Amino acid sequence: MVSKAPVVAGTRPVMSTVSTSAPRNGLQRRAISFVALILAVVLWAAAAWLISDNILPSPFTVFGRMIELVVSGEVFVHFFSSIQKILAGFGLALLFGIPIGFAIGKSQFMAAYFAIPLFTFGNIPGLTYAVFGLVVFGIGAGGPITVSAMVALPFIALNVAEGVRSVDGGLLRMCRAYKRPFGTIVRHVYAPALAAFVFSGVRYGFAMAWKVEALTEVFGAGEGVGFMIKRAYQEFHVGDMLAWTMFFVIVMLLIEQGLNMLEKRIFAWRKDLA
Amino acid sequence: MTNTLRDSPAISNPVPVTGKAPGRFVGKGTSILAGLLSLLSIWVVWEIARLWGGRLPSLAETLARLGTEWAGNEIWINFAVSINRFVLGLVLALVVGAILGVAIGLSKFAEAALSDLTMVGLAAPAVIWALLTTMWFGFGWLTPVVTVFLSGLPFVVVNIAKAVRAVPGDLILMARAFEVPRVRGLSQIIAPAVAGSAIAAVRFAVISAWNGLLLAEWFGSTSGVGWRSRYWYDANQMDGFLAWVLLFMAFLVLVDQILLAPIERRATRWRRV
Amino acid sequence: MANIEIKQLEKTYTDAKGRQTRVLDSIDLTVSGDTFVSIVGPSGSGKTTLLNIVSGIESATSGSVSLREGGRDAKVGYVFQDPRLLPWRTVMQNLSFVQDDRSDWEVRARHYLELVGLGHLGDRFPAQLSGGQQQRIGIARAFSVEPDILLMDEPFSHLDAMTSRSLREHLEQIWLQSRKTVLFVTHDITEAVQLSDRIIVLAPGGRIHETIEVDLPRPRRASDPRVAVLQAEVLARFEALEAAA
Ligand SMILES: Nc1ncnc2c1ncn2[C@@H]1O[C@H](COP(=O)(O)OP(=O)(O)O)[C@@H](O)[C@H]1O
Ligand SMILES: [Mg+2]
Repeated sequence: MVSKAPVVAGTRPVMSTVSTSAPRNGLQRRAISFVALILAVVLWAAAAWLISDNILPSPFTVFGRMIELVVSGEVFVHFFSSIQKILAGFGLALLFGIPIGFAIGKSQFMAAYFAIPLFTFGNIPGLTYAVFGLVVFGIGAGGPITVSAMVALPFIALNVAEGVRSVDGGLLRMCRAYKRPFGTIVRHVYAPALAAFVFSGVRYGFAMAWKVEALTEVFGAGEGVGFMIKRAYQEFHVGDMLAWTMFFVIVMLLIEQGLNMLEKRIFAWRKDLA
Repeated sequence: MTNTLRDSPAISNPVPVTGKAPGRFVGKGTSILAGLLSLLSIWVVWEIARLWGGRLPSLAETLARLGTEWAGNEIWINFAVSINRFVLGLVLALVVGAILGVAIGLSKFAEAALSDLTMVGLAAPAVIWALLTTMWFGFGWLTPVVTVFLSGLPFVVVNIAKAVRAVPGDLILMARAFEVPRVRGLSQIIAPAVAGSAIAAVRFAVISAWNGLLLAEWFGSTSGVGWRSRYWYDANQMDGFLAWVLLFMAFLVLVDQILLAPIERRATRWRRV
Repeated sequence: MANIEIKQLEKTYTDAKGRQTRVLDSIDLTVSGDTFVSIVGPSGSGKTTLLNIVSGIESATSGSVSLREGGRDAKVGYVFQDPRLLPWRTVMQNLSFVQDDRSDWEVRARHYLELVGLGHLGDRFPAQLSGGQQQRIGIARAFSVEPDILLMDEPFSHLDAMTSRSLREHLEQIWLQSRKTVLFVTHDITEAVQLSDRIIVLAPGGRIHETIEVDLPRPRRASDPRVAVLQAEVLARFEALEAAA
């Protein structure tokens, strides 16, 4: 699956063979979704009640724990710590990924040269990153930062390469016909064409990096979300673990949504997003 | 949450990365040379990293360890155990995921009800499932199997739903107008249309589930490939750990290149000509 | 008064295996003043290559091209077969992109947008326009640099018959107002007869097969019987050429 960068989920095809007897507007849709979530929580509560053991705390216990964590501010401390490491890692990934992507996009030789390392970076099981991060860097911030960088790198490099290849030859010829200077071409043709691809690489890379970064913290860290999950596990505190998991999922979805909206905004010219 | 599955391709496609060089013409000799140079560079970088982060093993030690693991039959024994668990969890995920995915693809009601839950499943990292199942089921076979199932499931759901949506309604109407028999419609219209996403479903599920299996065996098992790699890690023998990492990668590459890639090439040939 | 002088122009492509294909073969062509010259020829006869060399996008294998206006190099505007707009810039920004003379480009850009009938769409992105509108922006862009020489490569061939007819009439009007030297590539003989002062027929292999002068009053209507007669004649010669090939 090579990421054709601005891959955006397809539009809904005409499904005339299927009778859909349901919601037409967003409100109805949201209502159904809400009821489904409530139902899931009720099922969970019922299971907890049946088992009635610490091993599966009730949703109310977990929500209570979440509120406590928010009130005490612990959530913010640890998420801030994790996000800082991811951002640093992404900075590194951009720093190396953009030039590498350029090289791959421009030269067949470079494409063949970087194929193996990028494949490896992109496909190593997360466990490997976590262990080597710990072994090489100890429990400091270095491990998670390097690991996020390595996870994000192939996404960014391959997307930039795709972007470089996609720069429309017709547009470049148009620039020549109108004798545009090189700086102008970089600014008005290459940069906007690549921006969308870089952004898309960041978006794809983010979801992966976020998970592997947390995993690295599970294996060894002094703070961060993964570290808190690990602590809950060691103390056999299922409620805490579920609470942190919920935060993890919520933050990930929020950031995803944020990036999504930002993308639509910045790249308003793109038809597939319109 | 206003997020829908379709808005978020990023987290539903975990690994849009392959090592394939771009499909343009490059001399065979050149790309082999580049590949060799690449391996050489990796080795050099590794040796430099070793100077700095002293606990990294050398490649020679790692290969030697691979040899002794092979000789001691550890590779076959552990892979047999793990593949057993892996296949069981994966098949479950494929069956359940296909049912949910078809429902989501066909009915707007099911989509509204299930897509937020699927998003949550996509966003949750595999390590959570590994730790939770270890706490719930202890060191039995359930821990890895359930982790494999849960880590693979959401990816199957999303991609099968996508496959179902790719069924071309207009072509089906056309087939009806020509009174094409059902079986032929199924094999000539529906199968080719959904093949791409269906294979993506399997591929992403395999990658994600394999990752989950390793973690589950690392934390909650006393056998299997994940456990074996932890054994060397706990013994502070990083050459043993690295040897197993190479095997993990080899397994993924084998499944991908030998099982899935040829099927995909055949199924999506029409798109590339 | 712009002046195009092409002398003994040759273009040969060499592929990866070293095989050579001659695409243009001893082209001699002189165009002076406000002449509208059409170049027709079967597909693959080198029309686009010729325009690309004239515009400076490609270089010739041998021979020379000179584009002069008074005592200086002539300025060129190019309308491509596809619109070739920067998708991430609005219509006005696209026009701004090609301007050298920054002083009053905006006035000029607005003027030509009006002329192609799209004055109200300056803030749209290309993706928000229809194919015909995008092509019109491409035409406005070429005029907005106030070129001495206008090159057009089958500018209407991707459009439906209605749109291309109305754009053709538009083009004729704008050209009658602004009078430039035009090299216009087309495979549509009706179009060539309607627009041109001179039609150059390229044969496969990139030689000039013949040159036909068109001396009909403007504006010309497709319904004008003289246009129809000339069309039939050019078409007949074209068919003879294809039969010979
Ligand atoms: N970059 C290129 N390399 C090799 N051959 C080319 C290239 N560009 C055009 N050609 C060949 O040159 C010939 C003329 O092309 P073109 O000028 O585009 O023809 P036309 O515009 O008249 O259809 C064609 O046979 C085409 O295959
Ligand atoms: Mg052409």
